[in-house]
Amino acid sequence: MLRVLLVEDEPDVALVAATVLEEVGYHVTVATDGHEGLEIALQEQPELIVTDFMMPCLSGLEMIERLREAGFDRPIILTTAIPEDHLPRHPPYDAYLAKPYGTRKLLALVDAFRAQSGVG
Amino acid sequence: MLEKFSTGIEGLDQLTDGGFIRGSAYIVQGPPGAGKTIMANQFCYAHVRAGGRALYMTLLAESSSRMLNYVSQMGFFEGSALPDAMQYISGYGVLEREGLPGLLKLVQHELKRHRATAMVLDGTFVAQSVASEQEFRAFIHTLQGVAGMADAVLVMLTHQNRDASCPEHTMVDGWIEMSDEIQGFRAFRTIQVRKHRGAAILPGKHRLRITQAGIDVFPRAEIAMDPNPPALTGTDRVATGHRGLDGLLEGGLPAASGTLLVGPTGSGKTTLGLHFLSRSHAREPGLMLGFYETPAHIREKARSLGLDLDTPIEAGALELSWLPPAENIVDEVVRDIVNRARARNVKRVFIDGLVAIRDSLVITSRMPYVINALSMQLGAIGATVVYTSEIPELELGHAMMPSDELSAMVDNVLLLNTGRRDHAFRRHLSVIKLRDSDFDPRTHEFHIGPAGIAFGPDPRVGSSGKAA
Repeated sequence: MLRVLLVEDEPDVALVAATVLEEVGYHVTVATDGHEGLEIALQEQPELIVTDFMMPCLSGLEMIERLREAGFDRPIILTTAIPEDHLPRHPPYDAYLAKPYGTRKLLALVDAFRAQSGVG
Repeated sequence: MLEKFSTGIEGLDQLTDGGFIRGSAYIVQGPPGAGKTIMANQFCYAHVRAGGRALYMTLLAESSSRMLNYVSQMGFFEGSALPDAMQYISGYGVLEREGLPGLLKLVQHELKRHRATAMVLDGTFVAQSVASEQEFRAFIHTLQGVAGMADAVLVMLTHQNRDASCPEHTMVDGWIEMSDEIQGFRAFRTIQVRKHRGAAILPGKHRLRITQAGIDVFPRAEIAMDPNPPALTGTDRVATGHRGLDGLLEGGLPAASGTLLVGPTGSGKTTLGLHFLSRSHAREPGLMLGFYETPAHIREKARSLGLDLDTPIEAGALELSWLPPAENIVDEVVRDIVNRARARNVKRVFIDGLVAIRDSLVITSRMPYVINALSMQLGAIGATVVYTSEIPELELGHAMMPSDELSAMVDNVLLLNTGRRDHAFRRHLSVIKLRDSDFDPRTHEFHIGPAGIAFGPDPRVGSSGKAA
């Protein structure tokens, strides 16, 4: 079972996204800010991270940068309402998902990474 | 000297005497849909555009990305400010897990982390719902201290309808109330600065409008305009565009005065106004605001009366503008006229149809004060203003004075009367009031012909009323 870490400070988004991913068989852990996300990611080494950008304590982008510095090389999806052209040109994440997003888009993206990872 | 941050809304800056004071905390209260979120976002982006840094923290459970998606469609949105100078974060989770003490720590931490000089806390009522009244009071008090220490402006949004005696209102530095009101079938939004420490506010309710560009606030004309415009003095006269009438007025209308043309429909008020405008030229530019006839109609009408508006219009010396008469915000209309007149140094203003202004007012008793303010502001830039106002048809021969209300609005009053006598429809003109001047008190019959207004009976009926 693919383990997904969902880092999201907006409770309704976290609830819906986690429920949808769990319904199709993913194992989801939720962190509510970048700091908590960093700790869980380093400890649990999830196969995939889906993270918001603008969050308290540590932003999603800062969290990703620290994870990459720490050697975390698994795929990361950044979700944000910030237009993509305002984000770094050479991003440390693997995919961008514009917020607000539909659950089908999220599932399609996560499924694509699952297929790449080879984890069932 | 207190440092102030613009609210990003010109009219609100006027109401608050320059904007939010740095290091102060404000409550913005109003029901859902009153415009609080847009106002707060508009403030943040204006602040960022001015070089500041802003943080928008929501305590609401619903997604702020949805809100941001909507805000991104608005004219004030600045995508390049995200995510550095402007950030949106949620405090809901922390509030749920750690209560008010956790939220306070979070606010402190985030203000510091983002080096924010402005912060919005959206959904302050949620914080109250998880605490006792005493705890909430302490929270607001500490939050205000946090804003002061961070030298930032803190704007707290709440939809609760709490009254003036509530502790949070006594503690904060400012309190702004936004509302959505209904009068009959008419809906309108208002804003009121209830409290603002260290600033001279424009009190009472003021109208606001929300468009794709954002919020626009229109301070009430009678209190927003310069209370001490230059005194209207001097004996200069401005030609009415009709030589005979100038003779009755000892040379014309007193310069920089306000004149009311009153009369029933068809009495020649608009025609006389067009005479006045036809004298516009480069050194005396003109401006017309009409409500019932479009500029194309007005130009056609002038041509049929032998009055040349085309030449000054084409030379840029005359501007005709038109507003449909339905539900305008009068304070916006007044601001617009004054701004247009200032921009072109206009000396001749003709406003055709005061009834459209009166009918747009939510409180019609404001009418004389609004028109007085408009005349004073236009007079201050040296503009002479002519208004028209319709009254019911009068019986010829009966003297008629406009009401005190009408009379008080303006310096000069001309009555244009109509009626039937000797089997003919006739028009008469009388000067009722002329500022600090003598005038010909007689009533003069006139008619409207191919050269506009002409004194004397219509040649087709002669003085007896029978066909000449």
